[in-house]
This record gives sequence, structure tokens and C-alpha cells, in this order.
Amino acid sequence: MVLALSGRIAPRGSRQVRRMSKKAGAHDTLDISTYTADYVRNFSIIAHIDHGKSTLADRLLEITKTIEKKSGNKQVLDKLKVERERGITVKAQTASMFYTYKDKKYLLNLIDTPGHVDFSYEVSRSLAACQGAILLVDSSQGIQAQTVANFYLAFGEGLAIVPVLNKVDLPGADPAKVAAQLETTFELDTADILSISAKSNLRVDEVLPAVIEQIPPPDGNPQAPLKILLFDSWYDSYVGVVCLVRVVDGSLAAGDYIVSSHSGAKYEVAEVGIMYPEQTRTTSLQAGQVGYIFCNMKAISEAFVGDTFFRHRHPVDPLPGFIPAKSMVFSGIFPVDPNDYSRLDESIEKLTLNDSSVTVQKETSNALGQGWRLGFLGTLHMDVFRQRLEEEYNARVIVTQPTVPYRIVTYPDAETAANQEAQRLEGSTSGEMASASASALASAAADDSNVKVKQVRTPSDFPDSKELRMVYEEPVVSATLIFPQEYLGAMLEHCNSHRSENQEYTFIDETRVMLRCTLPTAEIVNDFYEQLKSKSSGFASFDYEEAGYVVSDLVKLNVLLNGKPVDALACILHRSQLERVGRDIALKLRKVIKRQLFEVAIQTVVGSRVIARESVSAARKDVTAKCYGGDATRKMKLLAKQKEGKKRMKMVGNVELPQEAFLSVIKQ
Amino acid sequence: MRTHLGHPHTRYFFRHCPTSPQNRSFLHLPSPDLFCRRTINSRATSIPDSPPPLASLPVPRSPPPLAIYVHWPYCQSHCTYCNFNKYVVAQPDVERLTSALDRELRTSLAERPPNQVVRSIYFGGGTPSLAPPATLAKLLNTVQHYCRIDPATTEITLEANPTTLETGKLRAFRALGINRLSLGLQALNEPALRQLGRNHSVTEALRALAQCHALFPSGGGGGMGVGVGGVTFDLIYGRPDQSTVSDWVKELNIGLECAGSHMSLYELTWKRGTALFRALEAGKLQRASDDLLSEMYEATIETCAAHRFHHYEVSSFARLEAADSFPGPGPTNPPDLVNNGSTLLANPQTWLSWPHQSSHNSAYWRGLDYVGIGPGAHGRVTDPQTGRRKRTIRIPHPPTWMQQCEELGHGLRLETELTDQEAREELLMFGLRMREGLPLSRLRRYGNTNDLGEMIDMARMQELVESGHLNWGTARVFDDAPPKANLTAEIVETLPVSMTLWPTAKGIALVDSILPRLLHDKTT
Repeated sequence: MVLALSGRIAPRGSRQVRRMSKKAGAHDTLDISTYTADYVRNFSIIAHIDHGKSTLADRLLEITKTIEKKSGNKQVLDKLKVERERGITVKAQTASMFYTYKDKKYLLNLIDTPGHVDFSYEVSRSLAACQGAILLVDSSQGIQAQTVANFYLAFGEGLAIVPVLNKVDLPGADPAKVAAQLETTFELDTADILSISAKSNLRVDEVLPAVIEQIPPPDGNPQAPLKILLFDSWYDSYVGVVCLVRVVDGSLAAGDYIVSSHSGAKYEVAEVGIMYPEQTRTTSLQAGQVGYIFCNMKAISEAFVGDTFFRHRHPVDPLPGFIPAKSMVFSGIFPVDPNDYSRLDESIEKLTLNDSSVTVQKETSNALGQGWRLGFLGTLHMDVFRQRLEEEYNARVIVTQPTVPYRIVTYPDAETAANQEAQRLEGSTSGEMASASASALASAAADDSNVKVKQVRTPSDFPDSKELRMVYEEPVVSATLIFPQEYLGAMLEHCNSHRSENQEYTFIDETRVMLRCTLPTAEIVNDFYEQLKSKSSGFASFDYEEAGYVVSDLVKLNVLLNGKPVDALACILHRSQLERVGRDIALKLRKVIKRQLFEVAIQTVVGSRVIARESVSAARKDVTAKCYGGDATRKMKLLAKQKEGKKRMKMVGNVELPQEAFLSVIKQ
Repeated sequence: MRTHLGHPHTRYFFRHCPTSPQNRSFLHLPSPDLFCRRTINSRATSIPDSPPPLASLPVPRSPPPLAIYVHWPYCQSHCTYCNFNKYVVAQPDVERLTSALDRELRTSLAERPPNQVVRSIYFGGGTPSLAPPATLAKLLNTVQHYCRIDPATTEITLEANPTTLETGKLRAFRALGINRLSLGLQALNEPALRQLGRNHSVTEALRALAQCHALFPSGGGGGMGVGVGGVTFDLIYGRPDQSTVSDWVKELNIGLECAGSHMSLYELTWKRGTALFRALEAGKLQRASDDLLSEMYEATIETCAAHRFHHYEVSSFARLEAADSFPGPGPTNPPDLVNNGSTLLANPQTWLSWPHQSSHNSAYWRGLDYVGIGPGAHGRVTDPQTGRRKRTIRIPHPPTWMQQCEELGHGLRLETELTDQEAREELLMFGLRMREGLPLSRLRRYGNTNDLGEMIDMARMQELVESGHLNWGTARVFDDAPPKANLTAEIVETLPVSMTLWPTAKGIALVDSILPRLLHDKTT
């Protein structure tokens, strides 16, 4: 997980509209039909942040003369400004290259993957378009959590792995030690491992031969019925939706009609081509090849990553592994100034036009007025969305505390519920990964029509008191942490304080430890990562994957101001956190609520039970001492400003609640 | 409101009108019903139970009563707390300044209807007592040329510093017709005076005060002990040298011992651009805590009340009664006439302290017209043609201002017409800074509406009434009362009543929080 990016990056699928000049006009359409599957390699580069992925990509593009070799080639594939600024790749960028090896011409497709676990489903679909991956590791930093996560994703897709050590010419480099780590951790054969420096172009020429030798060509039959995997898409204001596809079987050309397996919608293909490195038209795309298509899709929401397309009237079995995007975290978004509602509505619409993975629902809060409940793939995704809203659309918003999708399972009777709860609790503590048993049970439950499963998107969906027939469940992740051994105690403690279970740790070399454990998703959506970084002096890396649901003793904490509930401050907690968080929230609110005309009583409650109480006494004096004729103008300006400021205050009953209240409560 | 300030002063007021036998009977308050019915009968239209449609509202036929402010921009030295438009110039060109002031005054008054009685004239600054009496004489002559000054009713105030006063000059000022002196004491503590940059001592200040009392007796204008004229002074509290409430109360008590009919008691405002503010920024001085300032504010009101000074505006106090003639705490049943809404005469303190309230400052607060003359002076005048109100601001820098006066006859920098909403909000903003509040009749006259709900959220108002911050009911309106020296019980009886919004003692201390809460969100 690359939370260190702190969310200034644009997620895949929400890329900015690219207006690339097409390299090839109608007159110089490329014919790539001679590149049969045997002469095609589809591969990606997987690496931890800053291990040199983009620099290596630049070198490969230069070697193949896809781009001119010049000093200005810095991370050509990272088209978003933020990507270059931060030295990271946040979205897939695919580039095709032509390369001659042993007198044979090859078409090499470098399929880049988004760099964040929030988008792990998209990563898995991108990887599904490849047959192999370069596992690039910084030879001074060694394996990091993201290396591990990406390795397992690639491994899970059955990809051939070509390990490459980068930055071997740096003073701190220890290629032998890192190679040993790769052996220990991934059981990779490192006897002939490549040691390169992408930056200084050291032995980079050995990379593509290794790709051709070690990565198998795609299989696929150009004569078979057409079968296409859609693995990425973005919105272009000139041509509409652009889809990146891998042609699995058959061949495709402009004028063909294709149908989505998922939606059944039919499209006419207007253009096919490859990314060379910009959109370059080709006569066709055939089995094994990777390229783009325009097919007059109007909205990004029609392009489902993982979807299979087939030729009209020639249906095929869809490719496995398709899952519609699902939200991992929900948050309320409200305009600071209610007058901005319609403008914000437009901005959200524009942003989601390019990011179909954000789910949008209208929401009304008693404290914050009209807003939206948005679902995101993860917290980074959420953060990016908020920042883009603020920076690109100049919107001022209040984001409420994130809620993970808890589940309320209602059984036909209390006894069944109790039994299920007992069984499930036993399952989750048996040392097994929680995910397997939990998801099995959950799907079993979902199949039973007597059992109702309700997803909780917002605390107001959550009952104030639990019925006996109900069982509450919360989502968990399976987490990987890698850090120097001296932080083992601190890291174990950190995980324990976040309700971790099933901890296992192994040494990946003499000094570094890999810790794996199950963590409730709710525990990592706030500042888990920031704390982890600070408790490990920045050395720990962290990644996770979703791991289903576990039964949990959840309660809803309400916040009352002078007896009136503030819905936007309510939160769902594990019972063990109740006292601490309840006291904490009351205290924080006391600090941000200014003294006002009336005394303000702050209470945090569960049902009718008061957890904590604080109060802000009424102000005694707030009046300008001098106000004469000469002061009228200034005073009236001040008053106008105060009125402006009041708009940003939220009224709950007679209490003026500043925006910071929402912010401070979120930052627990 | 402290109850002992209530009833006794009802008597006090009428004792000064011994010629009217009805006064006595008025003391035994008639039932509010009876009282009001009479009033209502005589001024039926002042009860805005059902506001007339806006279109039928009268556009003021003649501009409101007139107040004149004249700014003298020069000082002998800089005070560390003051950020007014003032300049320390060794040898200012007094003659040039005088003729520029005079030109601007002529230009402004020529636009007014002729022969209007001037309600008040105020020479402020700067340090206007540095001006030669001849200058003020010239300006007063000009005023008389265009308007009327009534020695019995026109309040003419001069701001003065204890240092710049000599008895001779004071006499000269008095002889010109100046009847009220505002003395800038600021503190009665030597180190504090030094810190504030004042170039006088406590002894000098008290001596100057005594001289002023002799020359500017209370009611000096009207000659009846009540009426225009008198001495007021300023004191500042919440200063860095005061660490406890009692530090301040001791000082205030000294002030009260030698007070005339009026005092302005301010909390120190830390103004950007002043030496004090810079010291604060540099961490050399500390602002008093909010709690201490609240306590000082409350102690100020209590201490003044004990000395029979009425807190009629946030920082202004007017004497209710001379100590020797005060009958002591009165009946336990003060005439708190505010009751069951519709029938009531309320807020008696308004007229109890009326005789000594500053006429000139009340003009600002009640939304009357004031002409501002001199560098940086602000004005608010009604255009006699359109009936619309304008805000005027003069060029602040004296040489530039003088040059424009010489070329164009005025040093106007900015003239803005107020929208109805701005005019209304200003009336509310100023009105709620006075205990007498904002009568709807005033809102109708100067704000062109009868409907408070157009401006404020009535539900919020009701909330604040219930919480004891505001009052909403009928009250006597003194806006149009005849010159105060002539105010008799009969006249008071005939004063109109109007639905009025006025702050309680608790509310006035919180007006800056109350206003934005009351006003509708739509911006001006």
C-alpha cells in the first residue's frame, strides 16, 4: 500500500482527459497483423514506490526507439503532472514497442499497473492481460510491502516473474542481500538475476531479451470467435470512452460490432490501435495483442473493467474474474456553504464521469444539510477524490468520518442468530485466515432467503439497539507489514491496539521482519498508516487485501449537542473502543466549539447511556467597545463577514458548530 | 437591569418639571392599559400591529435631524493605543486647515434645507482643543449662517486633552457657545498613562477636570440642571497594567467621584498599527483574558449603577441623579412595565437617563443624519431630493484633503448610497448597542420597512427573547422628543409607542454574537 502518497494522485479510471495528438493519421495506419502471438509479449513492471519503475519504462521505450533518446525523457508514461511531481505511477499506462531479437521482430506490450491497493482489482485485471512481470526491486531498500503484495497478485494470476535488481550502482546497494531476500520470500531462482541501473542505463539492454526468453507468448487463436478483455478505460472529450483491451481470441477491426457480456450493450468499433506510446491507429488487433478501441461509449460507467466483449451474434463464455467495483469505504460529502450545492453536484458528476468506481447517493443530514454519500475503493481513493474536488473544482467540502460497509445479518429467529454468531466467532479465532470461512458463511447466508443481509453505508443505517435476531459483521483485511526487526515490538503493539488477529511474522532476511495479520477494515481507514510510519521512524511498509467479514460486537455512538443528535458525527465502533472514543470525541468537541450565547452540553451516548459529557459555558461578553459614526462602514463590513462565516457554521438546534468539529472528530 | 435603577429615577425625572401637577400623578403609575390607551388614541399609527403596505410608507419629507462632526487631525504626540486619523505635525498650517474646514462645511450645509435646527456639533480629532478658538468661532458662525443653533438645545462638544488645556483657552471655548467638554483622561494611574503615551499626569488630569466642571456645568446650555452641556470623560480598562478587576474598580471609583453627567468607559481595543499592538505582537505585552475582561465589563456596569450612572450604550454611561438629591433606593416594585406584550410602556431607563445622554453620539446610534467635515471624517446624510441615505468619507491625509477642498469645495473621497437593506442593518446594529434598542417606527422611517422579519430571523429572535438576551415589546420612542431641557411629563405622555427590539443587560454584552445570528443569510 502506498499511502505515503498521501492521496495527491489520481486513481486509475479517473485520469484526466488526455488530448493526445495522434501520431498516425488515416494515411499511415500501422499493419501489425504479422505479429502473431508467438512474436508478442505482454508484460508489466511491478515494484514498490520509488524503486524505479517509470525510469526503467523510459529506458525500454528509448531502446526500442518508441521515443527519442534525450535527456528530457523522464517518466514518459507518467502523464499526470502529479505523477511526475511525486515520482509515482497512479494509473495504468500501456505502451507498445517493436524490438528485434535474434533477427526476429517482436511486438512488446508494456502494461503498467496502478500503484495502489485501493485499485487492486484493477491491478489484477491489468495483470490478467499479461503473461509475465518484471519484479523490480531497489537493491539498497530491498523488498517492501508493496513488492510483496504485487508479487502475490502477479503470482496469483500465474504470471512468469522476471526479478530485476535496480539501482545497483548506488553506494548503499547490496544486490546479494536483496537477491537472498527474493529467494527467501518468494522462492525465486536468483542465480541469473539481472542487476541494472535504469537511471544510468547500466545493463538495461539485458532486460528485453530476458522478457522475451522468460515470459511466454500469449496463447490465443486468431481464427477462434472474438473474445476481448477490457482492462482499463478513460474518458476523452473528443472521442468519448477509450478502452484498453487484450484480444484473447479472434481479431478485431474498425466497423466490427461487439457486445459486452456484462451489460449486453452492443457497440460499433470506430477505431482500433496501439499505444505507441500515444494512440496510433492499426488495421486490426488480433489474438494476443493489446491495444485501444473507440466504440462510441458515452460514459465511463459503461466500461466495466474485467468485462469480456464478443462479436455481435457470436457469444462466448466470459473470462473469469470479473467483479463489479465495490466500495470499501463510504463517506458523506457536504458543501461548506449550502449555496454551493448545485455547483458541487456538477463537479461530482464530472469527476465520476471519469471514475465509475465511485458510488454516489444523495444524503441529507440534520447538521450539514444536503450532500452525498460516496463509496470509494479505499481511503486513498477517497482522499484523491476530495482533493481533486477541492483543487480542480475549487469546492469547499466537509467530509464526514468514513464508514466501512458493515453488515447487519438478520436471521429468522434469535436462536439461529445466536448459533450463527457462536459458530462464526469460533471460525474467526481458529487461526485460519478469517476470509475463507467468513465469506463462505456469508455467501451461504446470502443464499438463504430467510436471512436478510443489509449493508451499512452510513451510521444512520445502523440501529440504535440490536435485535436478538441480528448479527453484526464487519469487513476485515489481511495485512502485510515489513520493517526492521528493532520495530517488531512497536509494530505488534500497533497492530494489537488496532484489534489485529492471527498475527504471524517471519524474518525475510537477517534484519527485516514481515508481519501478516488480519485487521478490521475500520481500523485502517483513519490514520493507521501515518501512525505506523511514525512508530517505525518511517521504515515500515504496509499493504493489505480484502479478507471478507467477521462477526463483531458493534455499537453506534451518537453525539448530542444540547440534547439534539448530530447525525454527521455519529460513528459505528467496536464495543471495546466505546469509552475511549466516546470521551475523546466529547473532549475534542469541547475544544473546537467556541463559547456562544448559550451553554452547550456535549454528550456522547449509546442508546440512552451516556458515555461522556462535556460542556462549553455561555459567553459573557462579545461586543465591540467603540462604535461611532466613523466606525459604521467598518462595522457593517465586519458584520457581512460574520454573516459569511455563519454560513460555514452548522446549526444544530441553537448550537453553532464549526467545520473543525467534523474534521477533529475524523482525526481520532 | 439592576432593579434599584428603576423606579426612583422616575421621580427624579419629574422632579425637574415641578410646574406640571400631572407629573405627580404620573408617579403613581397609571395602569399600563390606561396609560397606553391614551397614547394609542393620540398616536394610533405608531402601533404597527398591522404594518401598512410598503408603498404607502411615507418618504421622509425633510431630512432627519442634523448632527455635525468636525475633525481636527493634529495631535501633539502619539498615543500608543490610538489608530485614529491623526498626525503629529510641529507647525501645522492652521489657517489653511481652518479655511478648508470652513469651505467643506459650507458646501455640505448648503445642500441641507435652510434654517434647520442643528441637534449637535462635535469637534473631534486628533486633538481639537489644539485648534485656536478663532477657528471654532468661524465654523460655528458658518453653521449659524446655514442652520440654527439653539443655545438651550444644541449640544456642542469639544474633545480635549488635559495637557492642552489652559483655563484661558477653556473660557474662550465656552464663550463661543461650546457647552460640553469631553476630556480624554484614559487612565487615572501614572504608569498606565505613560504606557498609553499620554503626556499628562493624574494630578494634571484631575485639575483639568475640576476646571471643566466649573466652566461647563451640567445642563449649562439649558440652565435647568438638565439639558445640554456638561463634562464627560473617557477611561480605558482591560489595559496591560491592570491585572485584577479591583485594580480597575479602584480607578473607576476615583473617576466616579469626580464625574460630571456622563462617562465613556471602554475596554481597550488593540488596534493594528499602534505601538501597543506592536508590543503585543512582539510578546512584550499580554492581552487580558476573556474572563477578566468580562468581569471588568460587568464590574464597570455595577460600579456605575451604584453611583447612579445608567449604562445606556455599550461603553456609555449617563448620570441619573445628582447624589445629593437622590432619594435612595426606591420602592421594591420598579416600574418594569414590560408585560404581556401588547400593552406596554417599557424600558423606563431610556428616559430616566435621557437628559444626560450624549445627543451627538445618540445621533449615530439612532440613525439620524450626521455631516462629517474634515480629513477622514465619515458622514451619513439623506439626499433631500431622493430621500435616500448616503455614506460619505473624506480624504484622510490632511494636505490632500485641503487641496481638494480648495479646488472643489469639499474633500470627499467616497460617497455611497445605502441600499435599503444596508440602512436597515445599520439601524439594527447601532440600535442594539443601546439599551433603548430599535423601535419599529425608526426602522420604518429610515429603513423603509415595517417588517422586522424582512431583516432578521424572527424565530431566532424569539429564542433570544426566551433566553433573556433580548426584549420585544412596546416602548416609548424618544427619537422625536423635543429638546430634552423642555421635556415634560405631558410631553413624555404624548410620545409615541412602538414595538421595539431592545437588548437586556445580558444581551448588550453579547451583541456581536447576537447580530449575525439574527440577520438573514442573504448578504447586502
